[in-house]
Amino acid sequence: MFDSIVIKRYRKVKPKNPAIRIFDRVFLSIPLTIFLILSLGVISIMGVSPSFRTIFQSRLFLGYLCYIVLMMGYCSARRWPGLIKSYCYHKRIFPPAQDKGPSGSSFDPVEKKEVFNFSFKKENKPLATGHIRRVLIRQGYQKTAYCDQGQGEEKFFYEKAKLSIFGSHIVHLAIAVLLLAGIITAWGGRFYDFSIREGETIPLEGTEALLTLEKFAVIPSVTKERADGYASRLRINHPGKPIEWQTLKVNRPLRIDGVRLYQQRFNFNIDELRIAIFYENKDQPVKVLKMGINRRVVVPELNIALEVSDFFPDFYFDEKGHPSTRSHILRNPAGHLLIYSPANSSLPDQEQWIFRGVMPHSKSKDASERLEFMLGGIKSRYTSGIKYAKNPGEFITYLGLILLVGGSFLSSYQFYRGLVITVKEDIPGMTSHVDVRALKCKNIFGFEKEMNEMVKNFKQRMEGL
Amino acid sequence: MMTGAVALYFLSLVFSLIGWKTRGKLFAVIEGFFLTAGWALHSYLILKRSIEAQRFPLTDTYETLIVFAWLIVVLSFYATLRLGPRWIKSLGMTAALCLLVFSLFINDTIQPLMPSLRSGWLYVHVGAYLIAYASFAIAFGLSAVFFLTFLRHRDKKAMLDNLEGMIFRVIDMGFPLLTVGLACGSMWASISWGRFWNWDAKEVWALTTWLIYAGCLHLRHTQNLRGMNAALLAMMGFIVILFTYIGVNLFFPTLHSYA
Repeated sequence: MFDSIVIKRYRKVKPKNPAIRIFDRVFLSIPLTIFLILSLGVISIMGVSPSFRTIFQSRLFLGYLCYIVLMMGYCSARRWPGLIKSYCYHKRIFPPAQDKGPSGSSFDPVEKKEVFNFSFKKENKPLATGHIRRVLIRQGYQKTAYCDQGQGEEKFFYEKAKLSIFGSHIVHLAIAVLLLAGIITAWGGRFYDFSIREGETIPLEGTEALLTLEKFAVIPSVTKERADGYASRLRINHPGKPIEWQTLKVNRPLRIDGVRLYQQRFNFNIDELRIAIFYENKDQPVKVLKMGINRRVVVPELNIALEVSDFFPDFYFDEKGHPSTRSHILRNPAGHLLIYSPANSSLPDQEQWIFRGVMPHSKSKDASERLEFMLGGIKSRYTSGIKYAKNPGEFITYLGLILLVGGSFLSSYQFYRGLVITVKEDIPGMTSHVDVRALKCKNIFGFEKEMNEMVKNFKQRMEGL
Repeated sequence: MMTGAVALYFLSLVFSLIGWKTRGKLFAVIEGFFLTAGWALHSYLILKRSIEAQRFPLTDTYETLIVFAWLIVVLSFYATLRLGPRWIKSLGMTAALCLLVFSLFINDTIQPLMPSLRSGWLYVHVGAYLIAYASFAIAFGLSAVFFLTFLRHRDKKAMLDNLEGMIFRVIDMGFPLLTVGLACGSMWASISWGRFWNWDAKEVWALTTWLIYAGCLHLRHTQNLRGMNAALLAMMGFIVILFTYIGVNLFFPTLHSYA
């Protein structure tokens, strides 16, 4: 009686409804699932290559994901009711065990392995069952069902970590949720990078706000070789609302009217370079020129033309001895100056690197015309590289990830364990007998270890009964 | 200094092998001494680097390698305590030794941290992955032992069953952490790069690894995956892990190029 009600599990049965049978064939096919998952793996690995990268944006791929989501969703919909029923079932029948089990299902006996078998005097029965109960409770088991079968036979059902039966199903559901979130993101999401210069104002797409980059700041590292951090000070102007100021930092996205902004990168543009021209050994400059990069400027009084062909904010020589820059921080700015003499010549007469506050020696052959050049002021403006993201699937993705983590912990760190304790009379009125049997467990290795320990405890406690 | 730790681990391994051959208790004591000394030196070096860099060392290949090796030693100790056989410790030590020898050939200069790496997610994401990888390294060692035992003593069913149980216990231990690593990586990517999933080479291979181990556990519990197939799948999983960890950065352009 007890066996046929409690210690049974569902067996796959063919549904009677033909529509469900067709759906089962389309959405619950194991070979098709294996094929789809393997091909998803192959497509993902192919998509890593830049030439196949567009594959993930194609409608065919999204349709393929949709089919997997439908399969997994359908599978969950079919499984969860039965799962919830079997989770609640034992609690419902305790005590007394009179229920006939979930209707419309057929059952299979679960494999039961004998753990412990012991005979004792009939008058010691309360003591023996008490000892067993105490040992099991100490191991974390809970009595979930009891059945008095009459003729001196009683059965107890003890269980542990029952919640773990949901573990793998939660992971399954989580994958479906994540794929669904991916589809929503692909269809309704918008992602792109944009640049904004200091002082510039742009409208923020998808909102009514106007975005102004008021200031961009770089926080250099202690050695000043790299940026420890950088941030954009943004002014957000919503029409008809007070102006807001927000700071956008790396790893600290901003949310504005459902749009997220992420600080990604930065660069700076040189608006103006000042170059001072000196005669050798003279303190006062002959001329100070306002220049830009790659702009040729003629100095008629000296009959020369100058052009800054390259600019490095943090000049150094790299491992190969080539001039380069260490960082985007204005630590050691240097310009590559081309000197055309006479001013109308097509090729430069000289070229040299000029630095801020450092006067290099000129290579002019004529001492009377020996000129020296120095980098003066630099007017620069930073450009902030920001990512725009509108992701309608964001919260569904978070839900999916939480379910995935929870489900995997539940399925790998918790193992459902069930024990059936049968106490019956051996010789009527003389001796009784206790029999402990274990249900099949996912973690056989751990279960056997636990059983060995329990049997040792049983033997110790029941000696002499 | 790291060479010293490598030497101590090596000596411990040598004495463990001698002890295993001769079954002498003295060798086990000497092995234990060298192992403890090696592990203490290894821990000191990680601590020293943490103080010098003013952060826990988890940002580049060298740092992750030394922490990975350290975790393998710790987890193999734990597995020995939980599962029983003393040789699990030696398996872990062999794996740790290989990683540390490899780390000796890598640039160990402390690099300043990139702004995007200045986040608490780094420690959860990389830390969870490394613990998971360390578990799978032990599972790989156990699978290799299973493989050799299966070839030589196919009739010793109880021994093989026991080994199989251990392999899956260790995989069970690492799998949720692999999931945490993947999920935290995805959340961090969303915070730092604006997207949960970028189809980056590292991400795709990390997902492949996850799918292999998920498939391994799923087949074990639903289709009763056993014996040689189970061991081979566990070994394949770890080979894919090694490719994800080191190979991807060598062969593909990736957003994870600092790792």
